[in-house]
Amino acid sequence: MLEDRLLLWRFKRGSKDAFRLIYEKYAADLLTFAANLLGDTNSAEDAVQDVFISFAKSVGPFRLRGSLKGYLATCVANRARDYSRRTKSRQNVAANKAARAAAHSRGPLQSAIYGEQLEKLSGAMTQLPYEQREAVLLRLQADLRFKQIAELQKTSTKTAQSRYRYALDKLRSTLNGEVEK
Amino acid sequence: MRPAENIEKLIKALRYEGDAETHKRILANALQALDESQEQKLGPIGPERRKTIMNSRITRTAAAIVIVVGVFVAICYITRDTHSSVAFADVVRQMQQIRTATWTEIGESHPPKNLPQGAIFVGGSHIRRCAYKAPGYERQDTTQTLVDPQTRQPGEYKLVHIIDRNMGKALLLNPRNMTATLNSFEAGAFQNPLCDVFLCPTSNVPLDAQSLGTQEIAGREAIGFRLLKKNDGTYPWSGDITDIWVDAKTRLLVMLETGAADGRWMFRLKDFAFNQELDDSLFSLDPPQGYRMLIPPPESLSVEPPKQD
Repeated sequence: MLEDRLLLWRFKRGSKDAFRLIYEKYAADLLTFAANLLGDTNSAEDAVQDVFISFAKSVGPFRLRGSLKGYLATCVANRARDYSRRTKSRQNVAANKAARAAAHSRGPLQSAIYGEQLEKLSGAMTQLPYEQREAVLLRLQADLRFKQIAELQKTSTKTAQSRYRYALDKLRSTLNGEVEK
Repeated sequence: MRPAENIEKLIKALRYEGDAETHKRILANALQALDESQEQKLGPIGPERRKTIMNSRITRTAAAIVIVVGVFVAICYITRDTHSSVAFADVVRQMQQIRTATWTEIGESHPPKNLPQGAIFVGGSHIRRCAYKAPGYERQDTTQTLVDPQTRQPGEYKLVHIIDRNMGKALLLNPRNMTATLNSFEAGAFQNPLCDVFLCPTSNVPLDAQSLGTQEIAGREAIGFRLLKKNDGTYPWSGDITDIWVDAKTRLLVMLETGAADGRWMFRLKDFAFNQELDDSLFSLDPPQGYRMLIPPPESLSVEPPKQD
């Protein structure tokens, strides 16, 4: 947190290095989040790029209230909604790319089994209603609290929690025995 | 039923981080946008555009009226009693009158870019709880995170400094090995250490400062000042950029940030409390029970030579 404030402090005083460090710190997580949310790596990359461009332009008047990662993830989520309306048809490709990338980060023996689980999971994710998928990813990949998710989704905290729970239930039943105990 | 944690773990593992080319492209575009945004802010109106606008007699008259009204509003604004017209000297005066102060100092330092090959950077961060009592008593309880030059592992170190500027003595307590060291320095001229930041070290007059306007800090309306560093000298301890935020009502410090222009280090002073009763025992030069007194190293005795037997 302090590191983020320090980076922002430096960036507000014109340090491009600070901006680079912020990018390097959060871009991969945001790209993961956007790809899983949109199910399309191209749109995900565009969304993350848009967010960093807007962030670069608005840092003068910008004041951080919560975590920087939470703020950027919220921006990505907002941007992703616009993309989601346009690119509903291209979802499965990216989701499977994400699953394969995660599987390859494991050992070769495990990656086949693990990769299969992840591919099934990513496929199941794309079948979730958008709000439920967004709630799950904001919680688990962007580390937002339910209260923050509720604010973003313009709903109550309880509804955000319910969306999260329903989503996990659906994923669990879709995978149906594929998740190791 | 499968436990939810397994699905949660799998979702967390579902990563797509993009390749190096993607990141290079996104970052380059973002930096370009940043450059353009900065140029737009600085860019003047082109002469052609100005010439076209000022061709019309109506716009010339309107511009003249706007200028006259603008000057009038500016005069009213400057002469009325608002936060922006608060003189920095007024803040310094208030700060010089405080009896006690407590605050928290947070510091960070980072290795320089051009660190030579093989060199070891001993940097890190610290949190320091500070107390001051007039006249000339100070205490600092520091928790410092440093990289050990030998093992290169970060470690946490606690130290307590108690300073009596009246007597010219400073007690250093090391809770790690329960040792105490009493050092000497030149007693005499002293002031509230917070005022060291505000005053020119040679002339002792308030430094020049520019207004940063107002904003809410720690739930209070605060007025900001940026100290303008003089070319001929340095502050006792502040950095290239020093921003000071004072309470709009009391004119006492709310937050102080100072750091190097290249961002290699910064200090933030916050959680200020003024003129509260502070127990004298906080500033006692007697080491606490259980502490072993060490003989200070010779250089710290340079001001007061050791007594001859």
